[in-house]
Amino acid sequence: MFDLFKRYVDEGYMKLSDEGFWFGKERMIFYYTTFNARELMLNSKFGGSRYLATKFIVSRKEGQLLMQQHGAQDMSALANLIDSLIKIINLLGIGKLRIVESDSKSGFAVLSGTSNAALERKAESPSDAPVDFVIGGLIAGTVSYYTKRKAYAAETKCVAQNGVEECTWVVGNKDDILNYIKDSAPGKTEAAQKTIEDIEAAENEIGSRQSLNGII
Amino acid sequence: MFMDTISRYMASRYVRFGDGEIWFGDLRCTFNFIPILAREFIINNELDPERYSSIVFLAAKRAGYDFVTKHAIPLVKNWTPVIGIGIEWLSLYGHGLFRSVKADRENGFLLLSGRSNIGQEIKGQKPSTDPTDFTLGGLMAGTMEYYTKKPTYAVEISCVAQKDVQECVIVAGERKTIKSYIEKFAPEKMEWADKSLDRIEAVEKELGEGWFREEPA
Repeated sequence: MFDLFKRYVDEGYMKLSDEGFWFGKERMIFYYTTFNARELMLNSKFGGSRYLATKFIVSRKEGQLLMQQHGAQDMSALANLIDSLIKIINLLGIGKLRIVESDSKSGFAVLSGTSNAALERKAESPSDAPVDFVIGGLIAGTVSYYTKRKAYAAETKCVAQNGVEECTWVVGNKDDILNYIKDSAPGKTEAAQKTIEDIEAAENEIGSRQSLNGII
Repeated sequence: MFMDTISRYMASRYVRFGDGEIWFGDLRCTFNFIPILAREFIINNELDPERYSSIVFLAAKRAGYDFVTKHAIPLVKNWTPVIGIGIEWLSLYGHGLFRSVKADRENGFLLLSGRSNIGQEIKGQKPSTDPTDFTLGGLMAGTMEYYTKKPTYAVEISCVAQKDVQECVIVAGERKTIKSYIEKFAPEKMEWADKSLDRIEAVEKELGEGWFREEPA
């Protein structure tokens, strides 16, 4: 992976200076993943589902911007865009993902893999429910960029949970997500529905505040 | 500078790049998009002003504490050079360029000044009325607390996320030390300092005693 990292640096796409890191036009910061995990754990303890929903919403926005600025130029298939996102996620130490299925026509995808923040969360204190709303948001942003429609994501299982070895994200429009989960993991349908409703409620709340106008 | 430092650390196997993983010693690291962090701060600070930023501070404080313990720095007895290393790493990690204006070992006091990259991004998205960088203050407070063994906090009294402000200033130490400095040199910031410290202490209380040094499950 370091070779890829070095190539980005050598080509000037990843710039590292006293002014900070740049990945193309995006400014980056290097964090201990334990900090991300602990902040997520504490804020979700107090802020509950609304906090997690905002995490998803800002990450979805970033996913769209990423595709606009750094993603695959080949728009012939949704999988091309997701592939470029997977490479970026891997390069930045966020996690390791693979496409399980993707459908360009309906703008639907299922991905599996590991989230490093979730692994740290498990080490700190295993979670009852999935925790990685950032990766879900980044994938949903990629799908939104491709379809030009709003996309959601539900993580049906997560390595932050005891006994789980791999995360799974189901991404697309609300109905497609719920139908897929109903067939593949029926016990998770209710949780997925609630996740999407929480995201919608947070979207409405953010949208209704004039002070947050233009942020998303 | 970064690539030279990374290469040096890699030669000693202190930094390791795996498949989708980056390790600094025993600590896993991740590159984060600053626009995400800025947007997340703006939204959550608006939706939950009482607690969100205090939790960021406390999580960072624990990371600062870990920074000392996990990188085998505890062997150093004087914390002021450790702050120097910490500031160098802040720059290396992309937090921004900072310098220690005053570090008083006897009284456990630190005055830090510089430009936070997240703060600059927040200003670009939506300039803030109050200071915004609770992460840096937390990192410093955690590092200091390891050595002083006294409850250490930090207050940012000016921040580049605010309109027309060119530099962040962070005051760290025990609550009474912070307040006595601000009272003397920036009395107009006393109300903000009190509010900020009260909120952090309230969240600490909710978390319960001992959470800070709890070992992972």
